[in-house]
Parts: sequence; C-alpha cells; structure tokens
Amino acid sequence: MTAEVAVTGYGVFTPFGFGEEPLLRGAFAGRPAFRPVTRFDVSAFRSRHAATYDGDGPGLPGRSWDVTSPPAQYEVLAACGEAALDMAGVDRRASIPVVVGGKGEISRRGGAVRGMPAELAHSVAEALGLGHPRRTFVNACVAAGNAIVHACQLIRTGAATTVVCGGVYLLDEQVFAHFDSVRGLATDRHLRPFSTGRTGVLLGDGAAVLVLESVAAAESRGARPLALIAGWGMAGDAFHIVRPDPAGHGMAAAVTAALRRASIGAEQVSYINAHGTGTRTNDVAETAALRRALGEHTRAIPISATKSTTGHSLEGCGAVETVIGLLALTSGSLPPTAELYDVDPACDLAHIRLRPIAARPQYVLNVNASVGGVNTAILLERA
Amino acid sequence: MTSVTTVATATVRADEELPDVPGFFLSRFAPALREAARRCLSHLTLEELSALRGSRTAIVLGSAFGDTATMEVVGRELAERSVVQPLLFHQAVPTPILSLIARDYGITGAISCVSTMEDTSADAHAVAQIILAEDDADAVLVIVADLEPTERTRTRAGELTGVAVTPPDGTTTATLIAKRRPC
Repeated sequence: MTAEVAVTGYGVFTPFGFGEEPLLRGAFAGRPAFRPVTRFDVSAFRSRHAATYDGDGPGLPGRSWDVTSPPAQYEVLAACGEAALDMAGVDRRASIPVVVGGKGEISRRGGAVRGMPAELAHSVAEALGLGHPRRTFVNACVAAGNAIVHACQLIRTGAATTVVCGGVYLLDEQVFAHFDSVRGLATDRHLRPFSTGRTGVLLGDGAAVLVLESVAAAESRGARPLALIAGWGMAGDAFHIVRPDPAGHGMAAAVTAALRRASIGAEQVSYINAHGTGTRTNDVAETAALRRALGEHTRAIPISATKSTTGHSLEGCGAVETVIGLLALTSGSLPPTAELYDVDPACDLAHIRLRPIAARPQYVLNVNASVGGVNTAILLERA
Repeated sequence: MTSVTTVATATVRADEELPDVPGFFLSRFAPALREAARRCLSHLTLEELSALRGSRTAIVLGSAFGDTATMEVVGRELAERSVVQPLLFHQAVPTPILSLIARDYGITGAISCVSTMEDTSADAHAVAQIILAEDDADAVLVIVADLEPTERTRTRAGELTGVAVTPPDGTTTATLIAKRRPC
C-alpha cells in the first residue's frame, strides 16, 4: 500500500507581494505585474521590462526590500517555507527533507554565479531547522515541478512522511541577458500567451514552498489536507536541444501519466494552468500536447496562463503555479490569461480570457516545460 | 527499496580529449556528459539499447556545481560588455545537453538534474532509485559530472561552513541502473 500525498501548507511570493491575498488580487484578477526593470541597468538590452516585486504589496515578514539589492533567493524561499510550515502546523522539523528548484545565487555585480545550486536547499534547511536529504533541482523551468514530483515519490515510497518542497527565481542580470541575447524577451511590456501579436516572454520574481505529507500522517496528527496531489508525470521530447516538439509528444506523455496515476479520465479535469510562456513555439507545442493527451475534452476544459500576470519565474514557476492551482481549488475562482484579446488560431483552446470565472474545480492540472523539451504535469485534487 | 541492477558503467577522465558536440562550445561539460553516456551504453547489445527507447527510461544528472566553465565565460562577458553570446543561452542550464543525449538513444522518460552539497554520486543514485521504486521508470541513466575546480569553485567550497564539500576532480561517470537487465 503506497501513501496518498496531501498538501497541508504553502507559502508564496510573487511580484504582487508575499502571501496568497496579493496573488488573488493580482493574478486572479488578470492584472499584469510588469514594470520597467530597475534592479540592474538594462540599457544594453532590447527588452526593458519584467514582473519584479518593487515594494508594492506585502513584503517578506520582518525583512526590508531594497529595489536594487533584493534578498538572496534562499531567504525568500525560507520565508515561504516558514509560512508553509506554520500553515501546516508541522513540528519535529529536523526529520523533514527539503527539495527545491533553483539555481546558484547570482552576484549582485556583473551577474556571475557565486554559489553552488545545492546551497539553496541547504541554506533553506539550515534557516528552518529542517533535515535531509537536501536537494536542489536545476532542470530549468521544470525544476520546481521536479522538486514537487520528487517529494511525492519520497512520500509514496515511504522514504519520508513529510517533505518541504518548492522553487524560486528572482530576476537577475545574467538570465535577463541570456533571454535577451536570443531575442526571447517581449519588447512591448506584455506577455501574451496563446495570443496573436505576442512578442515573447517576460521574466518575473517568484517563489513558493509547499508542505507535502502522506494523508495518513496528516490525519494522524489531526491536520486537514488543503488538497491532494492525485497524479504527476515527467517526460522528455527527445526532439531538439532548445525547441519543444511541435507535436507535443513529451508534454502529452507527462499529462497522460498524471491522469493514469490518478485513475481519472480527461473529462474530469476541471482547469488547466498552462505553461504559457508567450512564445509561439511553446504555445503551439503546448496546444498540440494538450489535444494529444486530452482529446476532444481539450475544447471544454477552462485553461489559462498566469505567467501573463506574474511573469515567468523559471526554476520557481512550477511551485508558484501549483499554489495558483491550489487557490483555484479553494477560492471559487479561476484566473484568466491577461491581455488575450485575439487568440492565435493555432492555439484554439477553452481560454479564460481577461477576467476570472467562478468555478468549483475538482481536478486542476498544472503543466510546465523547460528548454530542450523536458516536461512536468502535476494534478491537484480537491480534498 | 526496489532491488536494482547496475547494467553498465563508464568513466570520462578530466584529461581526456573529447569529441565536440555541435551547438556546444567553450566548455567540456556537455561533451563529457555525452561521451560518458555513449561509453556506458556502448556496453549494451542492440536489443538492450532498443529496450531502453521510450518513456520507461529516465535520466538523472548529478552535479554539485554545474557547467562552471560556461558560467565563468558568461560572468566575464557580462562584466566586460553587458551582453552575452546567444549560443550560450542553452549552455546555461543542463536540460539541452540531456535532451540531446535522450534523443541519441530515443529516451523519453523523466529528465532530472540535481545538485547536492555532499556526495553527489550517492545522491544522484538515490534520486534514481526513488524513481525506480515508485515505478516511474524501469531504467535510469545516472550521469555524475563536475568540471575540474575553477578558482571560484575552490574558493566557494572552502567558504562553506558546517558541511564538507570536496572540490571535484573533473571526472564524469555514467551508469545505467535498472530493475532488471533490459532485453
């Protein structure tokens, strides 16, 4: 008998601020957080915008925020972790593993990497008094999704009963320069997934931490699950070093695996939080993948891409969007894709456009993909 | 924990000359990963290689520091010119080279990349064993790679307190583990 996996706590930080309330007022209202970048000099770049937290909205508890010198990634992740552990009411922290998505800390000057990626999980664990293993997943935009999947695997196999997992990305000059160099960034201050007229992705600050527990462990201490992680899947395209498979085979396989694990059919999925980066290659491949995995039901399942409001938080996006999925399960509202006025005909899905819709979903599907065609799918179930 | 068989293993030393990998340059990281995978899987029969194709094989990369050579170049370029060469975009993260290795062998299962503070090899294998134990794959290609230490990595390893980080020696290993020998 393997364990079911419950979410019992979470903490989140987005460009709207710390906590779920600013996220509900921002992403769930379809309000983009993009603004001119002031964290570093962008005069040498084509693009000038990102979704940064600049002090509007609640900041990290007990921590000031300098616009040009934000806290280290681990500090933001630790603040989310503290909130998640408080919400879960978990004690005996020293036995809890930490698995997060992220990358090495970036030097404030010159944008060079100055720390090992592994320091992220280690520093969070030290800050929160957590245990081992301490693993940092670094597989780009699926890193946090991979961390959540790994946490589920640890619980399901009995290697742990409780795991702290999540991911983080804070806008930095190095990654901004990389995306700008390949003309990947939008030049018009808008990230428009699935839309005609889109000009690219925009980056954004984002971090989230979840406390996952075996349902039995949660129940034994009287904790109420916020949601279940009913299924997950990871799969690769094996197609190209950068581009996703336009036929969407890898993401479709990840989604199919998640549904199979949950023993549900495609018609039972109530909402999809898309990867939706606002690049045509991603949007078309993602559309193909969802059609391949979900068949005719794709046209009826509400879908949105919340990166249109939060920006793309790269190694952190899988965790941030899992929290958005949790809020979709519990808030009675599904967030829209912002600024989706004209849908690209190649991305004909059941888009939630511009404004949220009221809903009481049973299953929420989150998908993410990284450069090179590495895909995750995480299926949340109402508890 | 699920019983696991080591099917094949191979090593690439830090001083070996390596075949170029199209699209990757200025760093041994990607060539070492691809060559270690090639050597490891060259021990398999054609029938066994065929059995590896598809979604039941995963890849796990363990690397404490990642591609430090590329990161050093990026840091220099940013400091000197405020821009970065476009070709370095996909070298900044490990998924592109792993996707290429996956394509070489038709592997479409999970691709994980993990960085840990202590025994990178042991931890990468632990991640792989969890994948097998949860039946998310039948076989996992585990690659463990770190370049020879740069001044930065040596310094950083020395700065860390409370944990012993051994600077890497530049060796790359690839090991195929499986629930049973593929056939």
